[in-house]
Amino acid sequence: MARFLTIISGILVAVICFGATLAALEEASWEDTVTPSVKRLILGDSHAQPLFFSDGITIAKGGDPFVVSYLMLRRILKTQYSEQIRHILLTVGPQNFSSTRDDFLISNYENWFSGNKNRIAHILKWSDYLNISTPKIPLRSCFVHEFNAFNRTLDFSPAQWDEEPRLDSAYTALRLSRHRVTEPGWFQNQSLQVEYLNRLILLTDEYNCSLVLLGVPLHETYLANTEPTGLKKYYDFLDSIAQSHHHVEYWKYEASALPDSMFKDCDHLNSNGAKHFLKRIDNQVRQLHQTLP
Amino acid sequence: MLFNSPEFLLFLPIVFGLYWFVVQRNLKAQNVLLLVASYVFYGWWDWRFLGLIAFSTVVDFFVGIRVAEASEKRIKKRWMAVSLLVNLGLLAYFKYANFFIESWVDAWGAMGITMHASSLQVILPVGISFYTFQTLSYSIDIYRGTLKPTHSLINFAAFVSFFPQLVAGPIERASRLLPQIENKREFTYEEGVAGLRLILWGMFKKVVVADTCAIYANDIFANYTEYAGPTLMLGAVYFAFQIYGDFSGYSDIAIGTAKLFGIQLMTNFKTPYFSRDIAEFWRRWHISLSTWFRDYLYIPLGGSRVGKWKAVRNVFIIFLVSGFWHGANWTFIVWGGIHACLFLPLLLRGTNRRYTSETVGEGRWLPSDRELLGMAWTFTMVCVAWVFFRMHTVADGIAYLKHALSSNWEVESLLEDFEKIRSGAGILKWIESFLLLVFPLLDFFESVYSSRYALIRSTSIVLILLSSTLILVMLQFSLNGESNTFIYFQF
Repeated sequence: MARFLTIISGILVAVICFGATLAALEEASWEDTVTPSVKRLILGDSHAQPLFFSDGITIAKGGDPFVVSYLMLRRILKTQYSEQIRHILLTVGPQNFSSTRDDFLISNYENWFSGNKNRIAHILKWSDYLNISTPKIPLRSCFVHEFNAFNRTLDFSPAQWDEEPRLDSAYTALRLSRHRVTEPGWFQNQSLQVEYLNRLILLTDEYNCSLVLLGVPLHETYLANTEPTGLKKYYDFLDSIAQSHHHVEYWKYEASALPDSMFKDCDHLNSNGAKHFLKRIDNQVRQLHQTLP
Repeated sequence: MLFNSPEFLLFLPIVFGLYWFVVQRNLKAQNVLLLVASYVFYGWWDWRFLGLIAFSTVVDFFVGIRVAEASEKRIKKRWMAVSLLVNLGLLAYFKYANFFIESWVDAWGAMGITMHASSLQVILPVGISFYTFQTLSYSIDIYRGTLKPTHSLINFAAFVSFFPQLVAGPIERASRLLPQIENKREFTYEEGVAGLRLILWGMFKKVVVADTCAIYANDIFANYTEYAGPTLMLGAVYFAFQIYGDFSGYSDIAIGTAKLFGIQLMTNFKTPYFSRDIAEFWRRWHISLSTWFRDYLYIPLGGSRVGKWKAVRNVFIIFLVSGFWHGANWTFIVWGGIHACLFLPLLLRGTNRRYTSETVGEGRWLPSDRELLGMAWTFTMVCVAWVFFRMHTVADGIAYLKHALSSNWEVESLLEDFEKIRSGAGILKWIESFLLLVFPLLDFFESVYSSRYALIRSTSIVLILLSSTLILVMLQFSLNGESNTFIYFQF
């Protein structure tokens, strides 16, 4: 029995050592994230992935809820605050305010979201996890991600989406159903998403940064099939947020009529579309820079 | 409680510690601990169904004693009928009630008579098919006079509910497991390490192989109309590996866990996808169930030692019942029917026991051409049958196979489909998706050579390194992928 228990203890020690090494490497990977040239950060989900400024960094992955954006930003601002960082651009879209995100965040069984759920836990760490009020993120996710061998949390390179656009009706219907924006009452302003949007607003205010809620262009078929009452509520909600906070702006580009060739699918710009879109908002970004103290 | 859950990671060391360090000197206390642990393990899922196991246990405990005590055959039969009625009645109600009601309504509907019947919305208690078969075999063995009843309710309850194999087998016979529960167990280093190896290998099969194959199989089966022929064929192969990894993984963990408590469970799988004909497949797949049906259904019906037509009838009965055991759906019956049709020619030619050796290619480096051909044919037909097992309706199964045979068969379409399935997943996922296909080879070598190059004989350092590497690989997969419950829980 003693020999058997020695083996078991040895295995436990080996696994714990490996986990601790990964945790240390992960800590180290956060160092020197913000170089002196970085002036703006783009945060968000897959809609932000192809967007990229030469003087900024993009921190986004498909399906990222606002809690991820919040924790990423908090970590960067707390550990590597630089006065140069003046603008935070956060992509928004109808999918951020439907039941999709919260459900995926809480559920254990959604494959599509599981990777992000783990990432959230990763960023949260134990103390952060305990600070979250409601709803809880499964403890298992928090624990297990600490041992993830391939840490891709800090991948700042923009997505290269150059493939043929997928705008067929079946795929559009699939995207819409995933986003759950076709059902009446889809818009929710009492959710975990809104809670973390508010935290993002407070955080950017605390660090004297401007926060731009960037409505990324959507294909006309996406907007045409989105339930209209909810869509109006969505626009009104973001407008009201921008009006009630001096450092927040809402740039409403969702309904920009861009040609099909600029889309990856009905709700994502491709790399070409992203370049075009960034050029279009370039002036606005410059103006924003000038207005800041 | 699932074997691949964090709760089990806490549960197992606690029970192990209490078992070997607190109550190790008292056999009765050890059995009480096993019983309590088993009920906690099962109750973790839904405590209300503990009453069902307890009821089944108490009934068969008393039936066993009464059958043994009865001097007249008539009385023995009466008590045996009680056991059959209770066990099969519970199974029929909880597992098949809705199926019978719906089939009844459908049958009348086919004749133009509309009937309205509300389904009973019965929850299927996890593992009911396994433990009812276990208790039934106990009563039948006593009735046949091949087993003496136990007079300890605790020992019998611990046998029925022994947690490693309670919810998904192996279905143990009382003649094998009960004596182990009634006698003092010893812990040996060799058994401990062998148990550990089985647990880790079983977890690997579940977490790495089955759960990853599930990603492909689920997508392909759910959207089969969108995919080309080769992709659908590969979908069936992925499902074949998923269900094997899942179920044999569970069995390995169960056998390994039992070893940690000094108890030996029967082998449930012996590299079934290396079978050279369907008869050999059934000697290697879910052995505890196929031998159960052989001993308690096939042989009592006369087996193959009856007239030709009766033998044909017996084959169909055993395979159809086996299919029906898996679930209340016509798809399982069709699955059983396909296997019966494949088995029948072997039986009629008298070649169903041609391959009884332990492994294919035994004593040689490679199998013969004939063996390779046999394996390819058997595996292909097993995969075809799995399509029905996996689908929700027979019509869907037929449509899947039709679509597989009639749609585009170019290699490019296969690559395009995989790009769609693992969209944006990167080169590592591509490698992973094709590496999974060589899993049976890995399993074969593990199964055949592990005893020869046993970890048991390895040094402690090698053991620690191998085990922790396996754990880390599993963690990596379990964190990035989808965590599924074991498929056989639903049966």
